[in-house]
Amino acid sequence: MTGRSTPTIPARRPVNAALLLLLSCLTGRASAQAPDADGTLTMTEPAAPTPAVEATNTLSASEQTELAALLAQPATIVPASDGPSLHLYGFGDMLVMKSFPKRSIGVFPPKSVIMAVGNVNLYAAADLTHGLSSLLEVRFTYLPNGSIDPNSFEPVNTTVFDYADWNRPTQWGGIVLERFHLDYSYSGLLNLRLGQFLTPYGIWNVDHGSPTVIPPIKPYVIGEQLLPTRQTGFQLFGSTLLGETTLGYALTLSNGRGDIQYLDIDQNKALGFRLYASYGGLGELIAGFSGYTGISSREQRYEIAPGNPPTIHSAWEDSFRELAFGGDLLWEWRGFRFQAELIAAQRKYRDASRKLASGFGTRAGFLPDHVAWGTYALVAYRLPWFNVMPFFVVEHFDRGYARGQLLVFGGNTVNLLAVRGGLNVRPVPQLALKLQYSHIWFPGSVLDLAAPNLSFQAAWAF
Amino acid sequence: MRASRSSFVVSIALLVAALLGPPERTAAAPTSPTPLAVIVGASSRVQELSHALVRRIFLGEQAAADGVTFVPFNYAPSDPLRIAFDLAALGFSPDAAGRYWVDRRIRGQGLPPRTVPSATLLRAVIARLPGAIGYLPPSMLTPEVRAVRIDGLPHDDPDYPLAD
Amino acid sequence: MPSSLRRAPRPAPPTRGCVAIMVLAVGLAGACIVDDDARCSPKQFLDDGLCRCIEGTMQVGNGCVASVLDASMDADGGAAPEGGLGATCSAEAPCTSPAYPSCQVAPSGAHYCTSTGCTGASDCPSGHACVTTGATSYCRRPYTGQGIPCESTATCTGDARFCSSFLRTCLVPDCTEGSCDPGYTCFAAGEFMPGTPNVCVKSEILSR
Repeated sequence: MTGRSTPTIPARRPVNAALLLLLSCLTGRASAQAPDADGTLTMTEPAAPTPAVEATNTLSASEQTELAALLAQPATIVPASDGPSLHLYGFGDMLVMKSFPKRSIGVFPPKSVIMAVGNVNLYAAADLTHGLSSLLEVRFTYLPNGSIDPNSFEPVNTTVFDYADWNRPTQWGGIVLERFHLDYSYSGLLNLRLGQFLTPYGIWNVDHGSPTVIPPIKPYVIGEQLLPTRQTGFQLFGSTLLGETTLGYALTLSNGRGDIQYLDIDQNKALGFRLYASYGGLGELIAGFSGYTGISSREQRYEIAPGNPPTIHSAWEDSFRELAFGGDLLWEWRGFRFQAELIAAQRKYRDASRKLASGFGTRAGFLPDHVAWGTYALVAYRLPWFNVMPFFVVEHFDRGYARGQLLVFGGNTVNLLAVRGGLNVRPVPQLALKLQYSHIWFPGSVLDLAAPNLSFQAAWAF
Repeated sequence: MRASRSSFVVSIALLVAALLGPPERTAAAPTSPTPLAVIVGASSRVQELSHALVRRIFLGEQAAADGVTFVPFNYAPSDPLRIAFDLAALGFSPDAAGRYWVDRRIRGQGLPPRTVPSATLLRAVIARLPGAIGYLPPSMLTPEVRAVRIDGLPHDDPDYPLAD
Repeated sequence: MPSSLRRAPRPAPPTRGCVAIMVLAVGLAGACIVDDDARCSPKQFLDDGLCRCIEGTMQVGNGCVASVLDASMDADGGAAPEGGLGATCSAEAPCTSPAYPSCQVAPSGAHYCTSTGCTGASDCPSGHACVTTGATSYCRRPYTGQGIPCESTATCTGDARFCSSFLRTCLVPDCTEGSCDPGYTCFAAGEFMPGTPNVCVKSEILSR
């Protein structure tokens, strides 16, 4: 929704520190002419149409053919390039990683070098008609093969005999439906999206693709989904230009968080919002604020209570009301990039529906109502040589309960402090090569699981 | 562990160095400072645009005037006019422009503006398609299109912002 | 780099709408649904960062109920229907419900009514296991008292009559493979702590 860039135009005018803090409310000088919702415009009565015969005669035959074809296609908001209106593109990545733990628990963290294709995402975008477009994003994955069943804690093996290859064994994978939505655009300020969409919060969740994000691994707070990564429902969004500042918003109504995207098992809808301001007078400076609230429930079982007649009721394994907020800041100027997010989520459990947790040396118990929060900050600079971008990231996560205890079931998040540094190289726009060294601490943990980690990722868009 | 860690780092560094080539040679920019006239059809009521709005339009964000949505048209990424416009209007080097559109597609924020192979064809499209907007060297202006003022300045003003 | 850029105009002061956005953001961020003084549910207390059942209650599902009650009773402590599943019985007062005619004895010594003729857990009420070792199969009720916090065995008055000094919870002792409730595994604790009997523990806490 925002136009982000890596501007190289020089600063127009110094802005003092106090104004920087209020950049979400800065507006440029409005045009002296009559403004409209999209910026500064000046219009007059239309001049009499000029015959275009003379100009047309300067076109070659092939250009005239091409002109006719261009004019015959609908003038969509972002016109499709020549050819079919369906556009297929995508991205993928491969990760090479090695950890250097002092000790491990079982196979975590792994000590050997891991090489893995991580994401293989395919997009199908279509302009249906004027103002109506559709986007599908699917991820092809090896999962569930090799993963651990969260209920039985047994590994999943999808080996089967391939009838097309002499019944030799092979493993099948699956797809993850990242998003699929229909967009109707009434104006720049009013757009409607329905379907499954990425939650419009912060910076990273919308960027999400490995060629776009700078480090190879997402910050821990983003992975913890203090706001859900995606939702199914409706979204209103839009933006408007006021001088040099773009103000934008998004409102969401959805099933909320859940393991099953096509059900709302607790019959409770979730609401979300995002407000942001983007100032283009000092590079690109974007400040945003997001929120989300709803009830999240994981239904474990149906219980039959004896009686005449017997009654059936749902027993929630993990059901809570949540209220989450996030702030984000992005500044790009002359190759310099600063990006930070701070997210906090409150969770209040419903009685008899608290998540059960246990671990090594820890008595079993239920998760208390808590506030989990996390943050990350990234600093980077795109050098003019080979498009090399050194970057540095620091992040922190606090799960908000049982600090110091290592929980291996139920409360499976940890308190974490991480420092990462590396290089991001984009020799061509479609390819990102990343090398990163990170060191992670687990503050207060009874076990010393600090683990340096070296990773390399090649991510490319196609 | 130190030896294995060092050798791992060295091998990855060699791999990165092997994949890197010399800096991408950019297409030659115009040799003399030349303003780029932002044009609309002669029948359009638009007389002036702000630089910020031009930037918004050509960065793929929706904008409209008088009930008509702007439909931007561009040149191929290697075209000198495109390179000059990206630099002057958007602040993009060719690499930065490429990264911007790749990243935007991954975010699901839409596709780049249509490209046309020549300035002559672009002028013809702008003249006929309601809402169409593009840019030309002033020497190619004809009565079928109109150059709009940017931030109140015509293209022949010394302070015109869209000049290389 | 462009050399003829026009100087930017002086930014206008914040509009009322922008101030409202800032106030809204600060106000919303201060909203709170977590009560620091009441972070656990009734019948629970906050202990070492987690909510645990208070003395006299036991974990049932994802909550706590009074431990003197059978697990087959409802969470509010309502008595099982007379003669029904889990009803108290004895030689002098046998089970009267045709659906639950068998009077079985739990490890704690309590007698209860239950159904017979099952072939597997799916034939039994929720949480019950099917015992097929005897002449007649029957549905064994869930063990009572599992998960109650304890410092000594004296606290463990239900079927889970062993207090683990490591986990500090009441566990069902002397189990054999398959004799634990669904979701529990018989763990040979004696291999790690000599003198400790085999106990039923939650399957999830055992490493692979």
